[in-house]
Amino acid sequence: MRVSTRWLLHERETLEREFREEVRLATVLGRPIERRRLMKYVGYSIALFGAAGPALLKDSSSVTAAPSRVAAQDGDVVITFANIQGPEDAYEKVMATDYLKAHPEIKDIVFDTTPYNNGLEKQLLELSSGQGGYDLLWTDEPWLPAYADAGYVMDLREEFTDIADPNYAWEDFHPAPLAAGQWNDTQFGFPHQANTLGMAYRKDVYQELGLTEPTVGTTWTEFEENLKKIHDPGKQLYGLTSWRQRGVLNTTDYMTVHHSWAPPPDNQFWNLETWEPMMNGQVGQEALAYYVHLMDSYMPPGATDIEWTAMITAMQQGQAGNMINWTASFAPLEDPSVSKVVGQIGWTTPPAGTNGQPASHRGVWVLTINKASQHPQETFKFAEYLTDKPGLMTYSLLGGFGGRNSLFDDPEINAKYPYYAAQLANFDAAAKARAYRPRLPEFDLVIETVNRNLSRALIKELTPKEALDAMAKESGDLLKQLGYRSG
Amino acid sequence: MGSLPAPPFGGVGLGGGGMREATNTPVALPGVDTTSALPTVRPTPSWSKARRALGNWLFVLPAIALILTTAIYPLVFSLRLSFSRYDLARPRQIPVGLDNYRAAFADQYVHNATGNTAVFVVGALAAQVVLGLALALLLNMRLPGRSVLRAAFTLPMMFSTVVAAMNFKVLLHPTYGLYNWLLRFVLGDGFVGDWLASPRTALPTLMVVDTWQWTPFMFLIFLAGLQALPVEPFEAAELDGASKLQQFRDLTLPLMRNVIVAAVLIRLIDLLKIFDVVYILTEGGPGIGSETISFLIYKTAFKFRQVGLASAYSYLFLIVVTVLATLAVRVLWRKTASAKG
Repeated sequence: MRVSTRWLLHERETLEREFREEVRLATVLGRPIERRRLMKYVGYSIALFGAAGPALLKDSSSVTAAPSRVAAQDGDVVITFANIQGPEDAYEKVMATDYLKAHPEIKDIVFDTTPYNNGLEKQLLELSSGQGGYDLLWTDEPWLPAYADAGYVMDLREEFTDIADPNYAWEDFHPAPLAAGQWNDTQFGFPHQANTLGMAYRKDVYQELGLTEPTVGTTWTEFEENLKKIHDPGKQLYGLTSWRQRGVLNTTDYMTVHHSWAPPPDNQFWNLETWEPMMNGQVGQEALAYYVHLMDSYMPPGATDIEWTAMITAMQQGQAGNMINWTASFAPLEDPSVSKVVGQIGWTTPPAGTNGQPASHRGVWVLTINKASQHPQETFKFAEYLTDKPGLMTYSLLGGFGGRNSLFDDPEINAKYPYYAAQLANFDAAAKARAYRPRLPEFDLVIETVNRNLSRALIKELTPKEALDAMAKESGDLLKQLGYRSG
Repeated sequence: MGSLPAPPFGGVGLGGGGMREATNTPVALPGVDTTSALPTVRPTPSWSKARRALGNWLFVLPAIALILTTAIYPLVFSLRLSFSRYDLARPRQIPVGLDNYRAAFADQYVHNATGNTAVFVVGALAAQVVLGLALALLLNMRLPGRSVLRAAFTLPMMFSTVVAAMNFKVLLHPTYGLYNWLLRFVLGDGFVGDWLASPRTALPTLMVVDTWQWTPFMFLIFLAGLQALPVEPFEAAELDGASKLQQFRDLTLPLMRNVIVAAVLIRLIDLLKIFDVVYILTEGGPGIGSETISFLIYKTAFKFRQVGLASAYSYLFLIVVTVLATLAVRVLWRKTASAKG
């Protein structure tokens, strides 16, 4: 849905000005404020805030949007931002509103926000048209190689040297999010939302049951012992919630088990030099059998359909003892307007294999600039504003996850969001386990061979061994067809 | 009264080949002596015919241009794509001959989607015909509140499919959904299910949703057909002592054959192309348990960017739909012809 930031800003300011003038006039004329009129404006304010407020309030988690009402003329600078649904969308709208206030030369920033599942296809269709319909794109890191390889996005370090902010401090980024924005040693993306896969757990439940809280290095066996005690469907409390709906996010959840099961290179899905499939070896068979068992035994009903909203809701409503999910989901658990478990959540990495090494996953969102953009320079400056030190500080205080080292060290951030420490541990765990999705321009094709067979294993259509063999065969054939694998 | 104004384009209308040429015969108007007032019209000269033809073409040209650009060109372009490898991220057409078609025949996921589509079409169509006919027969009888009921039964069809599917997504939720709550309340925990997430129930649940929405369409067509039936054969059968069942079997069904086949044909084509309900409710899952042909084509083209392969799937699918529709029409034509003797 397209939302004009300028329109939201204009509506709010007009309303506030009219209201102020009304009160001032009433005072000057020495008569009481007309109650009916006052109530009318109060009514307008409530209605407008109902419609536009979430976008303007820092604690909002979603935006009710209206179509753009700012007509762009030739020569006007309107930045169109291809965004993805999620709590971050609201934080970005708040920042875009502030940016417009300070930059009257920008006519508008229009958000076109899409659900995650349609994000890649929508962005890619627009990019391949070469029409420049989007200027700025919120890009999931596995999508970047396809964009960069096709020449759809701009080199941020070479093509904007004359306007780049000298104080931007690229070196302040943590290496993991920085690498997420690169392809073939070229920086195509500004690191923005630096997600990892982490674990949230209910401290109060662990304490009530006298259990040791999980920490970095707690093994799957130790974790399951806790799950057995926590899982009580009769009381509507389930041991674990995790992404199980078919798709890449189900695969990344499984990968945290697979990658933790043994140290590299035995824990890899593919040999990253020869692209030979490795996921169906002994490590894979044990890991997948265990994962299926875990999903069957400790998840809420309807587990095969559980996705983002269902997972977060289960935690917020106090129906799950543990959640393995992307760290973007952590802030909504601490939001008192929607969560019943505020202050009761602990954060750590997902559990570890028998060798004590946990695995996580990097899932960084980066900002890329369309090569066909009509306003690349203005878009670059806006992206810089969103991701420079103060920008990412503001973003993180709103609830996002900036990937700058200065944020991880910042006392205000750490006091407000205690899960920042876990975030660093997750980055470390992902790096040690070499846990990355295949970084190829054809990422989505390759990962689908895993997605569908993993889903088939979870619904018992295939045994773990059959599913892994199918993943190996299908991905191997595909990688060969694409020219990455020989033999 | 003066002479009648001359018609445009040399005295003829704007139609095509079936136009009538102007003649010298005067038009007879009541109370008007047209024989002396009208001038004699001579045969149209050839330049005038050419002008007329040009005029006709000018009128149809926008429609032709529209069809060429929005229907014919995409069809030809996608046919060409079906013989190419074409990735949205690398938009170059690499000719691959019949490889995409060979891949389509060999791909187990195409076989799976074909099977799912067949099961879905047969199941949903059978349910919609039976329920639609039953409802039409019921509401064709003299019942109190019949008009209200007729209107009420057509309501589901008025919903956008997306809205209907989203409603069902909420209603069928395993934990918070109304249906499981009702089942648990009435029948106990043993009857509660993950309707959209279980491989055994996902496809049948999609059939139920589609049947809920589109049975009213069948009902409306069948009701119209029933109301158009002649009364006399039924009165004669009544006098001859035929039971209601016999009347239904030997009169209603044969007389309704054309209506039924037309309705089946429309729904058959719609069901073969089923996409929206699948997309919203299951995304083809769990596993590949509810992946239909249309959904597979969409995924191949837009999720996996293999536009050439998806075009080959589409052409094969187009052939299947055309063959099935033609067969259905032929069966209808043959049965109707033989019924007429």
